[in-house]
Amino acid sequence: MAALSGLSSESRTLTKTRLIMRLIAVLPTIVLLNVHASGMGQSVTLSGKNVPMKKVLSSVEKQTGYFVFYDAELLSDAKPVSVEAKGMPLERFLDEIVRDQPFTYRIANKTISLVWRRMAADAPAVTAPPIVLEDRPVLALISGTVRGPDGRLQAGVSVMVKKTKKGTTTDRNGSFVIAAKQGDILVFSCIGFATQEIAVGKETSLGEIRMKAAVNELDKTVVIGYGTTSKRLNTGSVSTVDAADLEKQPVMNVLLALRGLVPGLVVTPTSGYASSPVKMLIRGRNNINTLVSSDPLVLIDGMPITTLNLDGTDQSNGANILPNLLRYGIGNTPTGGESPLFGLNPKDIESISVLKDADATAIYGSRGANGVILITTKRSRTRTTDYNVNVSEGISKVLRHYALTDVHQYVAMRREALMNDGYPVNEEFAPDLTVWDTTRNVDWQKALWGGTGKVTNVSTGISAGSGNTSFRLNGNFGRQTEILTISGGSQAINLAMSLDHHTNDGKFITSFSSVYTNGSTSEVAQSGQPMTLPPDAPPMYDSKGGLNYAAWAAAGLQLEGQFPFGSLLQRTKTNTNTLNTNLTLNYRPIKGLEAKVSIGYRSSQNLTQSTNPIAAQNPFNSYNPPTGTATFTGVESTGWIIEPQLNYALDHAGPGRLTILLGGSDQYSTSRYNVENGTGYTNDILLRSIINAPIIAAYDAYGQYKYAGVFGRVNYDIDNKYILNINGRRDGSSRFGPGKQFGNFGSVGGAWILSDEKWFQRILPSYVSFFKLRASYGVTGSDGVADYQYLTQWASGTISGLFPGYGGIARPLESQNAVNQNFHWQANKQLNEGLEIGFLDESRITLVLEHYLNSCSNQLLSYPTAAFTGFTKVTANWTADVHNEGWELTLNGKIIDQKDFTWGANMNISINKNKLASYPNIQNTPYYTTYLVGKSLSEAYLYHYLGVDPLTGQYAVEDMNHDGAISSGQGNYPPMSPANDNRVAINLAPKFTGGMTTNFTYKGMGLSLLFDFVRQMGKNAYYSIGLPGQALNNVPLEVYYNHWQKPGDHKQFAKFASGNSFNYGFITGAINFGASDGVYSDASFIRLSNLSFFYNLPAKTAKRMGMKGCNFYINTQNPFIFTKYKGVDPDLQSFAMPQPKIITGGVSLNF
Amino acid sequence: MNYKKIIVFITLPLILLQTACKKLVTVDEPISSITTQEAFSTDAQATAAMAGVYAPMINGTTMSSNNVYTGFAAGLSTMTGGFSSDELEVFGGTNPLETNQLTGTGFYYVNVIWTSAYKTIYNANGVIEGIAASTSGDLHDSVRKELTAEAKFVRAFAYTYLVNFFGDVPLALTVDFNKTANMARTPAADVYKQIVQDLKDAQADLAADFTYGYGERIIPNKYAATALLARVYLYLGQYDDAAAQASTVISNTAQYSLVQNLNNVFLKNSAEAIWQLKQDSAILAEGTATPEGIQFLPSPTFGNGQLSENLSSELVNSFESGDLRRTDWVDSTDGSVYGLPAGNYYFAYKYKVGSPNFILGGVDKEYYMALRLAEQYLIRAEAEAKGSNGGASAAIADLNVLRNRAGLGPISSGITSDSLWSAVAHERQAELFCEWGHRWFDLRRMGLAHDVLSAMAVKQPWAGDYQFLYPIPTTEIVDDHFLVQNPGYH
Repeated sequence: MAALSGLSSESRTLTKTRLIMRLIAVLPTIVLLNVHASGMGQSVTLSGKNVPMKKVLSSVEKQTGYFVFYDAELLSDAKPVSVEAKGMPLERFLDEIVRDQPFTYRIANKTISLVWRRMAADAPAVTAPPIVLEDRPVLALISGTVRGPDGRLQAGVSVMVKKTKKGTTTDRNGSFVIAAKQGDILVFSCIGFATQEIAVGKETSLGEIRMKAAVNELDKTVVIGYGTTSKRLNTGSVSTVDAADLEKQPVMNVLLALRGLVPGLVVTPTSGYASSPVKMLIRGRNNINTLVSSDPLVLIDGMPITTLNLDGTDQSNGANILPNLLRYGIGNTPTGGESPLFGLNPKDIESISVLKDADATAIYGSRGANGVILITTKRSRTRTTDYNVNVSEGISKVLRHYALTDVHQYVAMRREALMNDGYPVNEEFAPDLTVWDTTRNVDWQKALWGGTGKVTNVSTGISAGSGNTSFRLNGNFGRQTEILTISGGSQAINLAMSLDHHTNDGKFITSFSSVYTNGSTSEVAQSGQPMTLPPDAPPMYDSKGGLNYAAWAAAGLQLEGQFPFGSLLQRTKTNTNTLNTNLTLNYRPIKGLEAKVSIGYRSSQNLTQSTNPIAAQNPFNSYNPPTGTATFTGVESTGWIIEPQLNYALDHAGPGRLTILLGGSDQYSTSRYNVENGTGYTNDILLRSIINAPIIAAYDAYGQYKYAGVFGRVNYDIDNKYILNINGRRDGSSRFGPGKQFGNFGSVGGAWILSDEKWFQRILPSYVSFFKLRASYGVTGSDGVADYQYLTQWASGTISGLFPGYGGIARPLESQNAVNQNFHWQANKQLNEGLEIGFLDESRITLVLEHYLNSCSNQLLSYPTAAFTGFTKVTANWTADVHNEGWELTLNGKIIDQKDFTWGANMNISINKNKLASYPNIQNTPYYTTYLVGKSLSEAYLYHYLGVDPLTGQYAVEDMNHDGAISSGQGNYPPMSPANDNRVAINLAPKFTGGMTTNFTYKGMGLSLLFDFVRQMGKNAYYSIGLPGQALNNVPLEVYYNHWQKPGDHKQFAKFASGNSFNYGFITGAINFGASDGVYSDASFIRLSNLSFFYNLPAKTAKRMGMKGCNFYINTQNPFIFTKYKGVDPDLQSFAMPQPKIITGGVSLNF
Repeated sequence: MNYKKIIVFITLPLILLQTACKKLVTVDEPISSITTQEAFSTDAQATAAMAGVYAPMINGTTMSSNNVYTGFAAGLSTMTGGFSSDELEVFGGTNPLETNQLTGTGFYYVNVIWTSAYKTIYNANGVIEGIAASTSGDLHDSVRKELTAEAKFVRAFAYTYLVNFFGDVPLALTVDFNKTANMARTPAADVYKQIVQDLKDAQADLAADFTYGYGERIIPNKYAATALLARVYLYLGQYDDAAAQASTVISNTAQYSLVQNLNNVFLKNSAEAIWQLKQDSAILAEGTATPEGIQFLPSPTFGNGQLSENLSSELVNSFESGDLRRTDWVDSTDGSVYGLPAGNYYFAYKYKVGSPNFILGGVDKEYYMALRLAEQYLIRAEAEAKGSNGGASAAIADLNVLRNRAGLGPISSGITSDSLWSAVAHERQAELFCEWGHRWFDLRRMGLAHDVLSAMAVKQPWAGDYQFLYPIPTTEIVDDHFLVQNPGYH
């Protein structure tokens, strides 16, 4: 709570804070009162003469926590009571007071029911055979048993008499007893189930009541931190993606399936390779340092993936590297590392919850600052045995192509350029026109990534349940080859298992889940760049199948790095094994109380082998004959987490329902890597083993991370109408130095369902069925830096190898990092307001509008320092306060819901505004010349491109300050300063993002489309053209058609220049152009990110074939993109390998 | 039952948990690195930390690549000083150093001088502070004293180059970034004060012999500190002090003497060496070669040792005829080998091991000479020419010692003071060419720079005398706005 008291610094939220503080003061009192009541147990203290019975009974209720049910009629005949009781046992007390009354009592399930004496003899025992009541409606004890849709006895279902609003909940055996009259309506409700109403008839036993899964969108279960709730009762901002939306996306990384589905979440792949890391950003960028990741915390079945939320460490500095390494792998792998979620099978996932505001994330306290993603794996949901086989096969192709010059245009361009500069077209100045064969016309985009990738997926599994046990087993094999015309592919094997068991009395529940993933990749880097390969460049391979170094050397291009295809033979193979398991033991000793311990274990090992064989190297550029190199890397990360939890639910705590969660979390993880670098191989065959290497260098590192916290949540719910939710957490992390390890976090959230207020119902139009307001405020934190940063570290080597020795000392020690012992938890303050409206019956159409304001101050990051201080960065907290404010709108509806035809649609759109709200002393920081206080962090400050100077043909940018020179201030002036000429501000953050899904089903057929869209500005293909006309520099077609040729031409692109002579004006012109608004343009897109179609064989037909079901489907990923982007891929904004489109077809059989 | 009990009941477990938490978040130390406390817990560890100061100065921090140009003490002072003055030309082209057209946007190698010198200073500060903070009884007083003195010497050495290349520079004397992150530039005079102080401290505490280098001249000793102090006094114009310090070194004939065969001057542990840096011969691209050997000696293939600079005609023509330094320390090669018109291109040949003949992992023949006796004669001669010690005649005598070795006749005793001054300058040029930027510093120090450099064809149009100080790296000004760029650089 200490952290909450600090919130008032935010003036905007001052009044809110006062309210919160008052609530904070009130709430513990409620808690204590109730603890007191139940602590007193079953004894009563009361004294008085002629006390009205009603008063006596309410004292009993208060003191015992028991509830008394009676018929008003019954009390009218009651006599006042004179009693003298001090700590009298309840039953004796009751005997005492009913002695002279016309009624007596019964106790069951902490419920005292008053019944007419004449009825009492006949009152049923819970399991007694049904008894027929008299016609006269009198209060009687009605009993029954409730089962879930899966047939299991269901505890915790609320049973309420509709008229009186008095009620109880089912016990662990699913049974309940309630006092009701014939004709009363009983309302059965529970999170995740459709609310049912049953009228009490003549029989006192209602038998078995089967709950149905919620059809109402509002009553669907929502997974939140350490628990579940429903959309209706949730006080925080949580978006959930269900299995149905994930299963149909043929991607190897489930994160990519989230695109467009979650408002406020921006998912961007780092490259077109299937296993490449994927960046996630929830509600805008918090960090001023672009190198620091804002990735959310990701948990799989409660086990945090700790390697994901770290970034920003420097590859060149060994001691800092560990977390980064685990995430990205060693060195420059072609894929740029591997996403920790690569290979996790989307078909094994039940749901993904994205927690966005403090109310939802504060329970994860210290690590919730960037949001939390909860991945829940599938469990068996049936009482039958289902066997499933699913096979699909497909292809992947490049999605987009950008037109560059063909060979004729290229040759013409080069000739013009050489003529402009006065050079002859000969072997010396134009080998690309004279030595190479200009009759070749290669489209290098096609040649490099015009291949057809193959996509295969086979999965099979069983899901079964009987008695007290149910389980699910599933195996999956997926393989995807790249669109690169040379080889390359990724493969994943998964085995997932879940097991659930409960004892006969339902007191003890065990759940186990385990997901094993093996991912392997074998890739080469994309060789060559379509932008730097002339259409007449010789083939990659020579006639003998070797690399065509000779053709390039013939053109005088024999230096290292000039031949672009060396990497074709430099293969990197990776193999990653990941095991993610969770065991939860659940004990419910008495009604309302649940003791639970959740134990998680995660282990991942990655082996990477990279080779640079002799065959890949330039035979024309070496003094000594080239030798081979091989690097073998092992990375291992294991961790466990233990979280004991105590959950107590009190159905009648004062006017409402109170739920208390207390828990502890203890996490421990270790990471280790070793690198063996072998050099000097004289034969490529030997590269397979380190032992064959003439020179071996090895390096290793090890890191430990420990994390511990206590947390609690208090949820108070009055009539499902007013809901208050308070989270608190105190956390310690080993990433901080002594004295800085602990931090406090918490949140307060509330919801008010206005549609349940009578007065509001009168105002509401009839088509509005649900209206809810909610708000939350809280503080979450982050410890997202590398391990050991508070320690001074001296070492004798880094990842790139050992340091050279000196004198007799082979292993000199060198200080590895700038040390700051004082950095501490980062604190993010988050305010969230939401409006939820349901339209039509059962809220068939829902609208959710959210507004948030997040403030990130005390930022913990890697901060640049001048090199003269010893290092160029240090881990520290900095005073910048970054605000992200935004709106999210979600619209969800079942537009048509008929037996044979349904049409559902979902749309979401998010707007985020990022602002550097304040930065005290910015003038003394490295960001003085990069950021402006009050402006977005994503603002790029650019020259204004004027076009080509009609006289000279050079690129011209505007001299904004009219000083006769073009200057960006060279690090001396802040952006937009009058001293600078780069004063066009372009915000590169998306203006808005969103998605749209629509599903149709007709009988057994279904079609669904998923779009995602982004409105943004981005770097286009002109960024890399430099000076058009140089050798080995291809250009977009529009450059060719719109370039300057003679004085007076008004064109967009410069005069062709050969690059053979140094022309200062042209070069600075090109550099200025590259830093101008001329290379930025609209990079918005609407992408059909998924299109899928299925057909279910009619049940009868399937049955005849011996199946329960048979489903044919076609799933396509990224089939279309609509964009005006001037380049290949508006997501990646470079000429690197783009994301492919994937088309698969398959069949799924159920037995 | 009362409230108090309940409160205790609830809070006690929380308190217990809290206490347990401290343990729950305490981790083991990393395995591949050790803490400062551990690094300075024994004599051997502390010595390894000091080796960690020397090794990157000459070797860089990796075994796998060519370490030429990785630091001010790995050949870079020679290169940039050589280009900026009148010694070196870019082979087949120019660069902004050679033309004295540096701009405020900086130049990579100038930046590397800055960063590498400060890295050396940081490492030295780390040793000084680490030893001072160490309470370990296994780190003995004699070692503490010696290593602290070595670190101070190295710190002074690095600052000497910084202050001469850049003028006023921030004087960072601690590893604590909190104290240095927002430093302004310290006036050069104050930097010099610290240099002198450090050198005096080092002089007092360093061993007099070569014990700590196990007989090799690769660890600075008392005379190294004295020799550098002599140079610093000379640069400061404190001629009496300079002459006195130089005399101390020169008179220690038991340890130091001029090597008469010029081809042997730069051999490892040569009698002329006061301090040499030792390369690690296991470095892949360099082997037994010194940074300058690998850089200057041409090799007919691409890659290392490709002739990327050649001696200027100004330098080659400056030698008197018969000067053995011209014959033994300068060599030439035919340009046609490199695709240029046939003709002689001259290169420095002080070091004889380079690309064509280094041995990977072999036994070194040469070390990289940082301080040598000949300079002490020149320092004393210059101080004497300014009236110290024995005055002009002593100066002439000192110059003649070197001239004699170079096979040249003595300077006549009757020359004017102007001529003597020119003779000193000339002798420094001929003796110390292509060594550690001497010529670049001398031209400026002796007031010759403008006249000599602004007249050179390659430096036309002359940008201005502000070029005599290098620009501070732009990134440093971005990261620390208290730094102000040298005048003239925009």
